[in-house]
Amino acid sequence: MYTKRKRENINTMHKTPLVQSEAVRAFLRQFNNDPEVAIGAIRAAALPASGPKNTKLSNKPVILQAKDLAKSYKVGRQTVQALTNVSLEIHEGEFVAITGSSGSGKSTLLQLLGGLDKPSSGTITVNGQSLSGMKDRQLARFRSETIGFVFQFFYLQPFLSLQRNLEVPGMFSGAKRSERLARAQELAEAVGLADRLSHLPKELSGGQIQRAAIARALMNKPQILLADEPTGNLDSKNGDAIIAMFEKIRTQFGTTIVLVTHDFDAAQRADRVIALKDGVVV
Amino acid sequence: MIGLVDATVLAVTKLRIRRIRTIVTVAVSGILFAALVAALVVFQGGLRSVTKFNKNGLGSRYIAQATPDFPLGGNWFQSKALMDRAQEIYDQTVSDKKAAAKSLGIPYDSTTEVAPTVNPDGVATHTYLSLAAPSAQKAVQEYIAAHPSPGLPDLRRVSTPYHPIDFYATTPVPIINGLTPMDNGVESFADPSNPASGFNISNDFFQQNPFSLMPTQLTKPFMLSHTKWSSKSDAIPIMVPYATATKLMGLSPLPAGSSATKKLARIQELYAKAGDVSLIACYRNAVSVDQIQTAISTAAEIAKNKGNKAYQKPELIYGLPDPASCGAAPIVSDKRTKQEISLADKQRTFDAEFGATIDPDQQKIVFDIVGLVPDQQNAPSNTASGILQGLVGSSLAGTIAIPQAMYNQLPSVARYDSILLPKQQGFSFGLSAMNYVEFSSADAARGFITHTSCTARSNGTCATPAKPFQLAAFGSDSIALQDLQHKFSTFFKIAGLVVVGIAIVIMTGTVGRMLADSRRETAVFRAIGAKRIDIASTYGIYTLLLSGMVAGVALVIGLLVAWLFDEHFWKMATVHAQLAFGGANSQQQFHFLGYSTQIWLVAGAAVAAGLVSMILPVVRNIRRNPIKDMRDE
Repeated sequence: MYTKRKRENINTMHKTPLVQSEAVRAFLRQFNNDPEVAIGAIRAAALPASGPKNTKLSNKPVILQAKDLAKSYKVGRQTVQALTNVSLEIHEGEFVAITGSSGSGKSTLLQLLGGLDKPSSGTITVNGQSLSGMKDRQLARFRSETIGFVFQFFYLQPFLSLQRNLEVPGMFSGAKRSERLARAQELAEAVGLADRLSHLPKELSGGQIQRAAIARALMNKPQILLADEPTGNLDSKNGDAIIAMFEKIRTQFGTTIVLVTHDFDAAQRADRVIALKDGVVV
Repeated sequence: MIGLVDATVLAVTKLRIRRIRTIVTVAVSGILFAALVAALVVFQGGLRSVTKFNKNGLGSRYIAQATPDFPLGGNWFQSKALMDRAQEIYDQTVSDKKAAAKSLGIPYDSTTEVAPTVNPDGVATHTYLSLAAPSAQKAVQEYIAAHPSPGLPDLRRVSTPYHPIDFYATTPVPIINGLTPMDNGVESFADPSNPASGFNISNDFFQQNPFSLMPTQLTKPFMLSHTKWSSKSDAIPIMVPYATATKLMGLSPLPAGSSATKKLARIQELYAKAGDVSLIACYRNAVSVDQIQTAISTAAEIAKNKGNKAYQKPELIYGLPDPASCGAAPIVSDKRTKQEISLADKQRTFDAEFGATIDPDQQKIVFDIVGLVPDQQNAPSNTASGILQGLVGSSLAGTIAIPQAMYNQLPSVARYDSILLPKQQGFSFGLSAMNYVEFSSADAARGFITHTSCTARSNGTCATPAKPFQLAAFGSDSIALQDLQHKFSTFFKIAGLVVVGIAIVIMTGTVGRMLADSRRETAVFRAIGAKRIDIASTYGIYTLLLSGMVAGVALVIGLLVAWLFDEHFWKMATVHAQLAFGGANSQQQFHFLGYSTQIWLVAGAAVAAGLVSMILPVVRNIRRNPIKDMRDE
């Protein structure tokens, strides 16, 4: 499902002389006629997949490594191959964008990297520790302490104040209330919502809610922030602000950020873009 | 693991999802449990009130009443032996009277003797003993004297295995034909043969109510705290039903639809004032009654023949005494010749020889009310009042009793004995003395009645040597009350299980739906670090809160319903209890509010139902793949 902005972009691009040519049309069809994805793929192809664009980061240790990842799952009687032989390395403090068309496997990859799901084959190593051998309880602890998730649809608890919403990951990690309160205050200030802590999510704008969701993801001081289409439900202005927020977080907290997005502009601001097509890194 | 407070914070948010469903669940389940709470509180309250009232009456005691067989057995009125003996007595009497009349030189017409048997339709098999014949009565009395009914010694023997603690006996007083009430202190000289004269047997207190001389142990609970009676007054102490007391006090019966408040006020008025009320009666023996009736009929005859010169007045004319005196009928005119007087004297000698009373005897007798007993049950047995009265009403209901110990203190007790307990009681052989045995527990009384009561046979008899009595619980039926308690306890357990079952189904639906609605949220929680136990804890607390609300609603609504029930019915129940139980405390109230620790059991069952309802949906929920739930969104 395209956003209104994206539909406008596609319509505009389709009217340009370049896109009128049959060769370009054939190329676009490979990307579901989504010029943004197509351009992302071109850009990704132009970037070295093995190392970061920001050369300073290449000296940092690899925090996240995926090797020969494959994931298949059943939809009814059919088996869908979501990922095939995906290998990647992400360095500490790196900001990586994963792009691809719908169904390309980018969200699946993000969930595997976050320990929410297990790969059919291949290994994921985080901080040198393999997720494959972890039991359910260890995976929960890993998600709680190492990973922060940001979702497209925010998923804040509607009946809790912003303060309480930010505290939720701390509740599961067993953090003391006083520590949670201080951390929530710090994060709210970081995302510009310090004066909104007592408000309910319904009293905030879409952009504010997503910033709150990012702050929630940072509650347990994760090393890695995994964001699944965080701008997908926002207008361009708010989307830009969110990406800026990631950049700020990376700078302020040294957090590694993996961003799954359709948004070419957002992907462009990452250190590196990994493009997926039909479950394969292209 | 998530802390209790944090789990509660998250659980509270679940209560705010789908509020209508939550409210409906809490309301429906709460009302189901509330019904149990209300039933418990009302039943406990009612039971306590019953127990309280019972203590005033006989209800807290375990007494069995032992009724012997009718002395003559079944089909006695067609007993050939009795009829033969009656005929023999009849023949002997006629023969003796003929001889005596001849000896005295007076006429005797044997056809005036009542035959010992009757044969209304001429069919030989339809010959019956004539109850009106003195010969038949004598035959019966002879039989009873030769075959005494089982009495206290027999009762002691058969009840020994059940460890009885006391024995009592009551003496029935037959209906005394010559005893009539003096309304407003005045005797009514109505003609029984002429209804127009105002004679109405249904107004005759002594004709309508059987009496008993009862031991103090049985009458004590019903005695009034205030009464004017004293042994020196020589008045006979009596306990009467409420309705009788109402009449004797000159009060109009309350209309059927009277309010409970009015009924209560009436009962309290009776208890306050009945002790000041006396019933004055005039006792006349058969000769005195005959003279009064002769005076009435002669006066009527003379009045009828006024102006009739051919009419000749009787030689001996009786007048009526002062109606307030209960005196003998005075002779107004006696124009009999010496020969007629001599003949009359010979007739008196003749009558005396054959046991007839020859002199008039009359006396004013005062009865002082010393106690009140409940009225005879009159409510249909299928009404609440009827059921209550049937269960706990006193066996003394409707009885006019004379407390034996008080009666024995009277200076004129011998004289009263001769009036109330005549040796020649007429046809009163059915009135056997009633025996009672008291036990210390309901179980002992129940066991005795169940195992020792005889079983009625088709020929109308019941007793056997081993089981000489027909036995029944006496007093307020404590035994039935205990049985009722056991039955309610069983009913409550079954109803409780049904309610818990229904509540589990309802709450499982709600918890299940809530969990289904929260799948995405659960997945998000898992993504941000929640363990399965965190999720289970949160839903556990949610279910506890939900079932806690159900328990709270059940307690509040249940107690409220019980309170409303009590507010609405306590007055009427008090009236029924006062009428059914008797007892001297008219201030006592019958309430339905009774605290029972079992209401906490109901609240606990509500919480337990919630927790049970949680198990399946939560287990199912935490086993789900969070990715699938996020993807489904």
